[in-house]
Amino acid sequence: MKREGRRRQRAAKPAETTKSTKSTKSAKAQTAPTQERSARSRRSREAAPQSGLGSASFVFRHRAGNAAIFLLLVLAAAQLFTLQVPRAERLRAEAASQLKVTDTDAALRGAIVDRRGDKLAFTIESRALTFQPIKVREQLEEARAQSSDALNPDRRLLDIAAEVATRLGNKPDSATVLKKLRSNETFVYLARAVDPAIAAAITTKFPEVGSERQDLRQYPGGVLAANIVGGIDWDGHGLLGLEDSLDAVLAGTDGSVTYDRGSDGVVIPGSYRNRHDAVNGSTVMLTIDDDIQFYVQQQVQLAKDASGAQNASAVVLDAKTGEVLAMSNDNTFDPSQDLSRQQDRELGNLPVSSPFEPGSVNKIVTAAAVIESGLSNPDEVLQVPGSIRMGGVTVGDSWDHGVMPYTTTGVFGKSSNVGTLMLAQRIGPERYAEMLRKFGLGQRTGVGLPGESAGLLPPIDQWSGSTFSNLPIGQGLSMTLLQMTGMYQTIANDGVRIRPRIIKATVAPDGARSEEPRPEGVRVVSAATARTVRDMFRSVVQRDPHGIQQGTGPQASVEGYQIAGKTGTAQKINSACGCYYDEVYWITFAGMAPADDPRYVVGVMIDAPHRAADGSPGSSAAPLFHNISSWLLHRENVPLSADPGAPLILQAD
Amino acid sequence: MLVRLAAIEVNPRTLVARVPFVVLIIAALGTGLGVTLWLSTDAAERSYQLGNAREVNQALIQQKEALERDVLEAQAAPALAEAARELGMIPSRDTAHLVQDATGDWVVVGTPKPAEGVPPPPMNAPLADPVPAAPPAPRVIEPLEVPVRIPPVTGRFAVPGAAPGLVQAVPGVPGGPAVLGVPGVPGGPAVLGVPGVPGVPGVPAAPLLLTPGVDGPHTIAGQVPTPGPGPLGVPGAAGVGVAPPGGEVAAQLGVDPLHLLPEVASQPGASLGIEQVETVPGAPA
Repeated sequence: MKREGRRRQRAAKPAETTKSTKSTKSAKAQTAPTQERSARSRRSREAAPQSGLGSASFVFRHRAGNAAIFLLLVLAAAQLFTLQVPRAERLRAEAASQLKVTDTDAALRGAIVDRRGDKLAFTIESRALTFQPIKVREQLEEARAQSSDALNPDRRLLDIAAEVATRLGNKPDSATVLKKLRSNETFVYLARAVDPAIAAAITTKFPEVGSERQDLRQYPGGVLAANIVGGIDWDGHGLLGLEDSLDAVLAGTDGSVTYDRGSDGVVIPGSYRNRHDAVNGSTVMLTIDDDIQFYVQQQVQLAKDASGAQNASAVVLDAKTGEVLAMSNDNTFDPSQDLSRQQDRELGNLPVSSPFEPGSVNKIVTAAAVIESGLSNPDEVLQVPGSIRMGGVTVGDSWDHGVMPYTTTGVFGKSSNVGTLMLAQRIGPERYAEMLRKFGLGQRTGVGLPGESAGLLPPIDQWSGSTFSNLPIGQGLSMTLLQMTGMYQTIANDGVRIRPRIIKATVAPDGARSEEPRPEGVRVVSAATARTVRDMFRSVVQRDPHGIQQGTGPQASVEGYQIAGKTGTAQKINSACGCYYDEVYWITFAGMAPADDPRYVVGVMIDAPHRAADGSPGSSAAPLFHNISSWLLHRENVPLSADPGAPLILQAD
Repeated sequence: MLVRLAAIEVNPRTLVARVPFVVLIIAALGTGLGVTLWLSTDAAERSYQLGNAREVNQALIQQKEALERDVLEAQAAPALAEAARELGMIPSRDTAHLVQDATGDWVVVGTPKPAEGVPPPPMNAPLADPVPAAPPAPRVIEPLEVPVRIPPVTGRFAVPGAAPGLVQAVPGVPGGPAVLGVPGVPGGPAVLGVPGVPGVPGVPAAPLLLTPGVDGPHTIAGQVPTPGPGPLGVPGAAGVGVAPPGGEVAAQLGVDPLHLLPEVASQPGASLGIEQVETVPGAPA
């Protein structure tokens, strides 16, 4: 029992203590805490006594710290502000300039093809071999210094030079390459226009040599049609001819991509932007036929050489459509070779750029006008004197004769100036001037070639007294060979003149083909007139063993076909005295084949020849016309004319 | 013990039911990881293959372009004409035609004849390689000049036999008869303008004396316009070098004075006076 009682007492005591703790809470809290605290009081701990927290030193540290942090924050904010607002622009630009790289993706230049799609000019990819002499030499020296196994730098350069020269067929030779390798430049081109496979082989073997894309323009035909196609500059842009005038179409648009690159040259991922794909250039299809062009070009060159002329040119038009099938002058440059070494070659395109006085070829205007207005007919007999006085000048024929009974056909067949002027007088200046304009003289044809000349046709209000006695015989006005051939195209196409053109279509890189619109024809004379004039002009090539009914250009005839055309001889202008030379001529011929159903119109001009176009004595361009039209009719399998045509009466009995 | 063993379920269905869900997840993740690794390795491998294939493709495209270019160049009209020309083919002109007329008869239009003439010249002649500008005429410098000590004995010049002893070192003039101051043109008598000298057998060795540093006639311009034996200051030297050919040479010298002889003529005394004298031999015997 006693033990029980003591236990109770001990049990009761804590309870009593708890009670007393409750009652003396505040008093106890002020004294040091004792172990004897209840679980509750232990759970709800009192804030630690302010031993130091409220002390002066802490308050100082606290405030100083706050101030320091605040100051730092202010500084940071200020710096942030200056960086982000006032200096932002410059810094951004600076960063961009250090990071940003823009790569160009070069567009492939379009091809120029002929009417059947044969390529006259196209671009293939090639490589230029590059080298950094100073940098590479330093690297080689370093490698040598680090390990004696490394090759002697000079030995290495020799190897490179030998390899490059061998691979490129000794162009350039190793001495030249070595000189570049040893030069004190930072960057040199060892070779240009290298085949990609060869370039890859060289750069694999010698990583010191770099290779750079370089597009190479190819002209497989060389001089073929170079006067039309032209050539490009070293930077790949057009320099001459269509390459120049159609540069915008051919060049395409270069693509580009921008990205950022770290200082170690590694692309920063995800920084690609502003990506523009390259748009390749369009392909331009010409109306030229490269075979015809070749033959014409060859014949023109032969005629020039045989006749000893200053130059010669020829144009072939399709009679029905006015498309230029061939256009050539002699001594054309070769765009596939170095242009700077071809200053003695003809870099232009004479058939459109150089006007000349056509001579008697222009008589077709008089013939067409006089027939169209019904003022004469082919068989009318004119009493043609040896000379005629008109507008204050006396004009004679090129051969002496008394009054001859020439038919109207004969006036043109024998190319009588006097007879032509007699007929022109019937037409009158106004109607004649109107006819010249309708035939397209004095205006650019708009063929689509650069540097085209309009020729010179004096407006009727500026005509002097003698003008009307000069124009009908083809002096006192000038025209290009293309304009001259265009006049004959009008007659060949039943009186409808169709503007000649040389661009057939443009094919975009995606294959979309846009045809050049066929121009509206201009009705110059009626179809009946055109037929009559064609028949009359057969007389020019008519052959007569007796010489009486013979025209001026029988060499132009092609056996089996009816040919109509006109010879021309114009005195050249002596710029020294402002007068005409007596012995220096422009010799022309224009004609159509076959005359009964014209397919082709050919115009030729030989400038100041000493002999005829085939080298024989005399001065006539008819043989050149004959060669071209004969070959053309044969090549195109043009059916023979049904009959040689009725013999024409040039001179009445 | 037995009881506890017996308590273990052996029914797989029960076992599966007791596998915790976590294990499933881990297994799935592990499998996924493995598959991903395998796929990415495979993709990397294929990307290498792809890269190789692309490179091969690019090379083949370039090869194709080059071959196409060759074909186009070979089939261009001028190239075909050139090939025909090499085969000796001649373009035919004005061929005759056979035409069937309305009645069914065949008519020959034109005159059949064999092609004749010569093939036209090629159109695309390669430009001649640029000829480098002719190098400037070699300056008259004398790499052959070798200083030679000559004892100042004048009399020995008079003796032709003594001359070889004087000519001590004159390399590079292989028997060039009196090529004076014009290296690289050995044996050209015209250089001297004294055509008679080399041809004369009586001149075994003509030691003509030149002073080094005196480089041309302009130093003595106008002094001796007509050098001949007479005005030579040293008769002995003159006798050896020029005199044997006789009056003919003297006359020629008078006509065509060359710039070396006046020098000889005007400065022999000086040359003998100084120690270093160059000698160029005449035609050695």
